Amino acid sequence: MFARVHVLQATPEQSEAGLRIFREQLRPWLRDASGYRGLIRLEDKERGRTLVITFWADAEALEASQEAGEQLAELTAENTGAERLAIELYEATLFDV
Amino acid sequence: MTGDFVLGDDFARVLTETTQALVCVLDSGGRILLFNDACVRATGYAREEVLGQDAREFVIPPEEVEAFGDVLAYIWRTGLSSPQVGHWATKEGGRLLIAWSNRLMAAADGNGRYLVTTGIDLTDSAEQPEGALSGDVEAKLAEVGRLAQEQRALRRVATLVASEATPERVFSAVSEETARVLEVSASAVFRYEGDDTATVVGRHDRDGTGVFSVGDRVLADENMAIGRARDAGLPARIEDYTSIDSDVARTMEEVGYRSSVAAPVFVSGIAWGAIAIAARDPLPPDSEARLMGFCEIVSLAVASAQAREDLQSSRARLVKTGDEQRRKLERNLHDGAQQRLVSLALTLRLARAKLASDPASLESILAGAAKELDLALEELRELARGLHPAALTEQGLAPAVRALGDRLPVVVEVDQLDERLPDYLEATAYYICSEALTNVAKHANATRAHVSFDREPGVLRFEITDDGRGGADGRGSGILGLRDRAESAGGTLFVISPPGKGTVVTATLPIGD
Repeated sequence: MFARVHVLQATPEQSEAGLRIFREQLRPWLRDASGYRGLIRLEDKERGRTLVITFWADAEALEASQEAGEQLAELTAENTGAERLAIELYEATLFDV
Repeated sequence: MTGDFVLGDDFARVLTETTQALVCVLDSGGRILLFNDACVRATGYAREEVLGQDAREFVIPPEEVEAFGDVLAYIWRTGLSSPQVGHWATKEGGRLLIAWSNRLMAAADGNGRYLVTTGIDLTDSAEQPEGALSGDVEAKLAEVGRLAQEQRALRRVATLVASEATPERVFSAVSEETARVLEVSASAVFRYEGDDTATVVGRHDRDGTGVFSVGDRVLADENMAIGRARDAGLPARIEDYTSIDSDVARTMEEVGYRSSVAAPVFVSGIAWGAIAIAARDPLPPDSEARLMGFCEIVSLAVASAQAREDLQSSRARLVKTGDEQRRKLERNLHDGAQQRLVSLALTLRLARAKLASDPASLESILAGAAKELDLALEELRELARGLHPAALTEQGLAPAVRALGDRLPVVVEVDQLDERLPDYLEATAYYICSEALTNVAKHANATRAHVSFDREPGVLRFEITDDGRGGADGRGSGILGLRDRAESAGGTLFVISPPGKGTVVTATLPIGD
C-alpha cells in the first residue's frame, strides 16, 4: 500500500469548504479510480494544520494518480483558500487499526 | 416359467413339438423358457435340465458368450430381430452350427416380452458337400453374421460420436469394439506425438494383461506396427514380435502377444494416430481392412471434438476481448473525460466565488475552463469513434477506413468501394481494417499501408498490406482476435507475413441476404 500526503494550512471554515468539495466532486471520481484504497484527513485545529492522505494499492496506482492528484488538490485549495504546504509520497509499512 | 404361454395355443404347441427346427424361447436375461424336442435331440440336454436356466451356462459355448450377450442386448434395446449364425454346445461337449431367426413377442398376459428363436442345424449339412447346404453356404452365413456384428459395433461407436461423447469415451469404446469384432484379446487407440512416440488414448484387453495404460507414452518406431503405419500412411503389421529386438517387442512377448496390426487414423489429411490390435496368434489377413472402418469413425470423433474445442475457445476469446474492451473503455472515460469534467466543475465553482471578490481573475479562469472542456469533448469523440465511427454509418466502409487512416502515423491508401453493405458486415470489416491498420502503425515499422476491396457475388474480400518488417505471429492474440471476428461473421482470415517482406491480411466475408 502506498500513500500521497497533502500537507495544508487551513482555517476551520476552509476545512469545512474542503469537506463539501470532497463529498460533491472528488469522492465519486476517486472511488472509481484504479487502485484507490481510501482517504484519511487529520487536523490539528490549534495550529490549523491539516493532512489529507490518499491510499493506493501499489506504486503503479500511486504513480498513475499523481497528475490528477496534483491538479485536483490545487483546484480544491484555490476554491477553499487553504494553503498547500507540501505533497509527499510514502509506502505504508504498518497498519494496526 | 415353463412356456405355457405358448403351449396354451394348440397350433403353436403342435408346430413346436413336431418341427425339425430348433425352437427356443428366452427372457431378457437369457434364461430358457421353452426348449422344444428338436433342441433336446440336437443337444442331448433334457428339458428339465435347462428350463429356467441361463442359456450361457448350457448351450452357448464359452467363446461366444460375449457375442451372445451383445445380440441379446441389441434386440432388447432396439426391438429389431437380428438373424445370426452361431454355435451351440451339446451336452457331450460337441459343437453345432446353427442359423438362427428370432423375434420379440409380447407375453400373452401382457407382462413383458420374450425372444422367440428358431434355428436350423447346419452342422451335418455343412460337413456333407452334397447336402442342401454346402460348406460354402456355412462360410457365407458366418460371414453375414460377422458383418452384422461389425456393423452394429460401428453403429454403436458412431452413435457415441454423434452424441458428442468425449474423445476419451469414444477411444475406449473403439478399443473395446475392435477387440470384440476382430476377436483379439487386446486393442488400443494411439495418438502420435509428432516425434517417434505415441500416447495411449484408449485401450481394452480381455485377458487383463494391462500391457498399456491410458496416458502411457510409447515408442512408435519401425519396430512397432503403429510406427510402421504412421511412416507408411497405411495399415501395417508385425507377424512375430519374437523376431524383433526392442523393449516394446520384449514387453509384448512377455505378456504373450506375438502379432499386431495397426491402421492409421487421418485427421485433416495428417496421420493423427492409429488403432492397433494384438493377439497371441498371427492375425487373419483381413484384419487391416476391418480396422479401417473404425479408423474413419475415430477420425470423425477427433475432428468433431477439435472443431468443438476450437469453437469454444474462439467464443471464450470473443467474450474475453469484449470484457477487456469494456474495461478499457471505462478506464479511458474515468481517467480522461471524467477527470477533466471534475476539474471543470471545480474551476467553475472557483469562478463563481471570484465573481464578487476578484472579477479581474475571471477571464483567465474561464479561459482555462473552456480549454478543459474542449479537451474533454475531443476525448469523448475519440472514444465514440472507437466504439462505432459515425463515418461508417453515414458514409460507409471505405470512407470510414480512410478517415481512420488519416489519423494514423502511416500513409494509408484506401481503395474505392461505392456499394453500401449490410450494417453488421461493414462493422466487422471496419473492425478488422481498424485493428490491422493499428497493428501496422504500432508494430510493423511500416511507412505505407494499402487497403483494397474486392466485391464478388455473395462475398466481400479485402486485403490490408503494408511495407513493414513482416514476421507477424499468425497465432498471436492480435491475429487470433481478427480471425475470431471474421469467423464470427461466417468468414475467413489469413495472414501472410514473411520476415522483411511486409504483411498481407486477407479477409473474406460472406454477404447474407
